Amino acid sequence: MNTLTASKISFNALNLFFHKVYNDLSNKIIVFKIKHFSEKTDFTYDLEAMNKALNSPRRKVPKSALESDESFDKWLND
Amino acid sequence: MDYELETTAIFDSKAKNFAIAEKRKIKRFMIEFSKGGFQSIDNYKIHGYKVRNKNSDNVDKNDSDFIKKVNHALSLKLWHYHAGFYNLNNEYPIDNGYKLSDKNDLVSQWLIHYQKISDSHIVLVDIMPHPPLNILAINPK
Repeated sequence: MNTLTASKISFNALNLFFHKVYNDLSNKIIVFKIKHFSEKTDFTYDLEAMNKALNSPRRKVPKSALESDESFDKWLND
Repeated sequence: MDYELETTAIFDSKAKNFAIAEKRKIKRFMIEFSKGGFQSIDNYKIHGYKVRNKNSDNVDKNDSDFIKKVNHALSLKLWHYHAGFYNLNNEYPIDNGYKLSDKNDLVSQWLIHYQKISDSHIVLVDIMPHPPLNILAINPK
């Protein structure tokens, strides 16, 4: 291996290392910012239940379903 | 302009089991969206007060899954709208399901969770009480 190739490999390794450090640090800063500067709230939700719902089949709501209580019930029970 | 409104099977299965008053409030929310999209539900008022409609990334900082839930809500564009169901212990007297918050908007114990695909397209994902009921915390002995 000549000197040029060796320095290229070293440079790439250093580059990768600093990218990783930079990314890790950025993520930590983002997390810190969210945790310390977000609005105080008591809101939360059930992650598992939400994912289950998000992955369940979907259907469009037709305008006709919203015309009356009866049409809404009929559409819900379809 | 045409607005696209979708529901999940889980949402439908819960919605059909509510009483007529709650179903009417779900329908009212859907009609409001069909009339003016996200802007309409985001500015909906009852007795002159805005109904709270928020991005779901505002998770309690003490939640053990805080980061996971914030990222989840942001990446999937999750929002929640205060549904106005049930006037429990007469604490939610406005429109028989809302109370006035310290921020001067209307909040309720039940939430309609939805995914905001765009201002003209939402998916109603689930209906849940807020916060989720913790049976162990209610009866610790």
